[in-house]
Amino acid sequence: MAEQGQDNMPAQGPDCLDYDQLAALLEEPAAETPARRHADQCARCQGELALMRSFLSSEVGAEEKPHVDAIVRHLRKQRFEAKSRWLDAFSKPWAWGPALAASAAALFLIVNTGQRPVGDVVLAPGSGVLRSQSIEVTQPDPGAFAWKAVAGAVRYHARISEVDRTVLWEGDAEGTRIRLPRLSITPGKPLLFEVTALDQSASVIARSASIRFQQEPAR
Amino acid sequence: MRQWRADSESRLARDSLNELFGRYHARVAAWCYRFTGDRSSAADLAQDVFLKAYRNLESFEGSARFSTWLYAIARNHCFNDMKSRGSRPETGLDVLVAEPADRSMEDVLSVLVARESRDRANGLMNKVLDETERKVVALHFQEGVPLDTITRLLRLSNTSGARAYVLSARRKLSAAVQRLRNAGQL
Repeated sequence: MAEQGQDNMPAQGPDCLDYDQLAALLEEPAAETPARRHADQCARCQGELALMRSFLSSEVGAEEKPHVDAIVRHLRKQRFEAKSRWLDAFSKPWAWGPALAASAAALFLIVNTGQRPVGDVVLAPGSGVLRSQSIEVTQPDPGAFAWKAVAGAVRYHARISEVDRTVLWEGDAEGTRIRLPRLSITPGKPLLFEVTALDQSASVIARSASIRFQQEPAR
Repeated sequence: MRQWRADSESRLARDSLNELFGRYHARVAAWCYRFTGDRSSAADLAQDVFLKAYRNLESFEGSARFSTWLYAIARNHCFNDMKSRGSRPETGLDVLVAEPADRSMEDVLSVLVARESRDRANGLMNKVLDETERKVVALHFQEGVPLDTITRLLRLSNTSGARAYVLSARRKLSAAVQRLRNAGQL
């Protein structure tokens, strides 16, 4: 009996390829190997190959570029301190080679020295961890939601959806409160409320968690 | 002198580490953005990916490519995030265009998998579906990746994106399953 995955689709089989094998196939797509023969017959591995190819490709579409550039600027503020094992690598004379690429490559060729890292420094002092803000939401009365203002937001976009994310209603507010419309739904149906904060360029700068609620019965 | 050298070594190691990570900023950013379709959550995911990579540096054995290792972290983190948000395949009756006489894709696959070996199910998919249809079906029905995410990740430029491929795959597989039934082979 086939091994069941999600939604009755065959899950990963015993011959399915690991990441290194998938990467090798991407490097040499024409090579006639058992891995290639398996990939040609396995929809799962073909899907995984497509995902990996999407990651390894350096091409960024015109529509994606402003978003990717903004994320990269965000990531560049994240600086790491090397752990002591990595410091040990640079105590060896050959690691002082002129090319930075050679130095970086040397980092990863060093056999584990067995020394424990000194502390667990993650970020250089002052860099901080920059994350998107979350919005704190309250329900002052059954027909409205309110939230705390977000710095830099010029408007807020609210959404009501069913629990499977089917959107029932969306609306915008410039302030920090919105009155909910009356929806034609089954009484007692669980609903989700979410609000996102938008800046002047309509980019999302913060979002709330999904707030579960029910519509009050009509009076 | 010893302290100066230690400081220099520390700066070099730190700069090398950040240089190496920096080379993959765009790739991770692009992949996370394609995964979520939203800049803010993509930025969070991308930052988490590099934090995980940093914390698990010791697990990188050096025998594999760094890009492959980093990809594994990015893929697993994004998929776990997707599952924790409760994303489910949008497929089934609410997405597929209503063709009353047709079965949903899940019914078609259930027939294939429940009654046939995994190899035969794969064989049939390879026979009747094109390359993109196979990938979309596998990613959506096996991994639970939402269709809009698949559209972005696979850079599908057709109208309706991955949704169109699910529909065409369903038609083809339904016809193939029916033929097998008619021939008494299913």
